[in-house]
Amino acid sequence: MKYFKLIALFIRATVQVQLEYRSGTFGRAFANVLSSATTLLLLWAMFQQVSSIGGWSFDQVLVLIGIVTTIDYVVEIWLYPSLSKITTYVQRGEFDVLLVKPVPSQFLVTFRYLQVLDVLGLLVGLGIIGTGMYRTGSLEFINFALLAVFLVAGLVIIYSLYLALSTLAFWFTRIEEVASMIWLHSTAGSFPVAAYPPWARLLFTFVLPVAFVTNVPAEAATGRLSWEWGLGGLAFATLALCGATWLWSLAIRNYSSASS
Amino acid sequence: MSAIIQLDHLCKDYEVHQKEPGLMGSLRSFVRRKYQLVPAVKDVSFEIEQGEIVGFLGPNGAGKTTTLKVLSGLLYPTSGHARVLGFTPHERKADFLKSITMVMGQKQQLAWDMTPSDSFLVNQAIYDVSDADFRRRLGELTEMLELQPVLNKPVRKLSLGERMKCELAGALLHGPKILFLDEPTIGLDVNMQQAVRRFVADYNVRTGAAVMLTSHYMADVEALAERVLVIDGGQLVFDGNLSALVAERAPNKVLKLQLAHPVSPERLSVFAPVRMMEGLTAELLAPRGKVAEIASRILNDVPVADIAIEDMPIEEVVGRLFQRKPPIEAVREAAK
Ligand SMILES: Nc1ncnc2c1ncn2[C@@H]1O[C@H](COP(=O)(O)OP(=O)(O)OP(=O)(O)O)[C@@H](O)[C@H]1O
Ligand SMILES: [Mg+2]
Repeated sequence: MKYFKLIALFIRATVQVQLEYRSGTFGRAFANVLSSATTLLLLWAMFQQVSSIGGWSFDQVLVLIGIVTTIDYVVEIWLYPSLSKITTYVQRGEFDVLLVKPVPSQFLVTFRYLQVLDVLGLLVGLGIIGTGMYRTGSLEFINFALLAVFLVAGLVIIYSLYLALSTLAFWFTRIEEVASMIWLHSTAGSFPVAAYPPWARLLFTFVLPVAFVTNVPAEAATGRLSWEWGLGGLAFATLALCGATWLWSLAIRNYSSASS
Repeated sequence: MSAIIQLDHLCKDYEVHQKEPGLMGSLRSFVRRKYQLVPAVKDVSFEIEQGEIVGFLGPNGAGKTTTLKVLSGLLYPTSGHARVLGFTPHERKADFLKSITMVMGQKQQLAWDMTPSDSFLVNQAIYDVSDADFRRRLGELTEMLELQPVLNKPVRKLSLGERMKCELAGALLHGPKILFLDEPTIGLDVNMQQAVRRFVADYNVRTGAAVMLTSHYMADVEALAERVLVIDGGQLVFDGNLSALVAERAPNKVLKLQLAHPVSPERLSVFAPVRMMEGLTAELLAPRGKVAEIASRILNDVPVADIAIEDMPIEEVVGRLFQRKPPIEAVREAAK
């Protein structure tokens, strides 16, 4: 309850600033449409030559693109604004202020900047997913439910990766270079992982888990998800979240023993 | 057990990493960590009772902030124990954090992007303050600190003094039992310093909260604290009454003379050592017990237009304390 109230207050503050600076809103949604359109065009051109990529049809890849677009957008309006501040807190020594609060610091850094005003852009991604699902004839309740579950799991994985990377700011000062890795899922994840050579498949599944973040939800939405991949995705998300949380608490302990 | 803060032989060393330049360098030093230990606090013990206001003095780098950070749970002690309100601070239990507050004059606690009112609402939620308590305390704080005009301006548009007052209000909305104030008046003008002092004194009287305050402005300490702790080079060099400190460390009073005609310093030094002489003003150091006698002899002998007897300024008394370090036990005895 208290946590919902806090999130609401954080959202309100973030929205007020967004309104004051009139940052983005439509510009950002438009950029989102544009980048998705480019990817789609590219994809369409490729499918003029072949009928499937890694066993995925055009319409199935369409769902994949929709998912990448959606996740990208969530990262952009939530995870990036919130988690990228960690570096600043640490560099300015402002972490003390968070640590004396009787609320977990991980909660405070996670939900601090939620730019819900830009939520319109999400419709682009969701629209593409819907179109793809319609064209593959998979508009069924069970598919929507599974899609929701694995989209959340994918977001949890991205969140955990990004939190872990930002947590490294406690040890490295110039973390920005590392943190730009966060966008990899949208470059590498826009294609079916099955289309890559085996070594890259391994890499994209376990090291940079684009398979779990984008491929699995797309399969879920089109009713093609095998239970191995489903369980694997959920397990990976749980592990990633636990790992990132553990790393965070380690960093806090380390900070408190004051190594700077 | 009546002391609400107990610090027992606290030592705190900072581990400073030897970092190599560049990303690869950071990676290397991440794998093979090289530490240097910087001792910041060495074997400090004291107790503070409910309702006390204690001034915490010491030169830059003495270890004041470090001590306060250990007491508020931000840092683990390297050795020794801290006990605050029955809690071990560094465990950072929610109940502990809800009963203390830390104000750091050098650090911003209110969010830049919110108005003070919004920040206060966030604090209300964070500290689980009931609506009734929140309204009552906010009302009181707004009145005492005259916050009304600034409550709804974004924090980034406030002046330093306005911001500090809001910081104080935000830090007290949850009704803490202990206030750790680290240089709360830094950078404020004299009026604002006084306002903050008055407020802290008032808050202490009204709520019975204990206050631990560091400041480089001696006026803060004189106005607020009966008891002072003096720390230097990480060691406690004095713990006692401010007036005892003055009596102990400043056996002399200052005799200020305004002369009617120029007089040579030699002629004055017959009566007592001359501390300062500039044109027609002179200052002599007279032992407490003999001040009256010396003053009357001077008045008989020298053309004096005006005379005043004053205590040594506390700055100077404390400043002297920093220069030599007698063993703490001896000073404690003397203070009692
Ligand atoms: N994070 C840190 N890492 C390493 N050394 C530190 C750190 N913080 C403080 N120190 C060192 O510890 C010593 C005590 O610092 P501290 O901040 O406690 O002093 P202070 O009494 O508050 O001084 P000031 O009056 O300047 O605020 C100093 O020598 C300082 O350089
Ligand atoms: Mg300090």
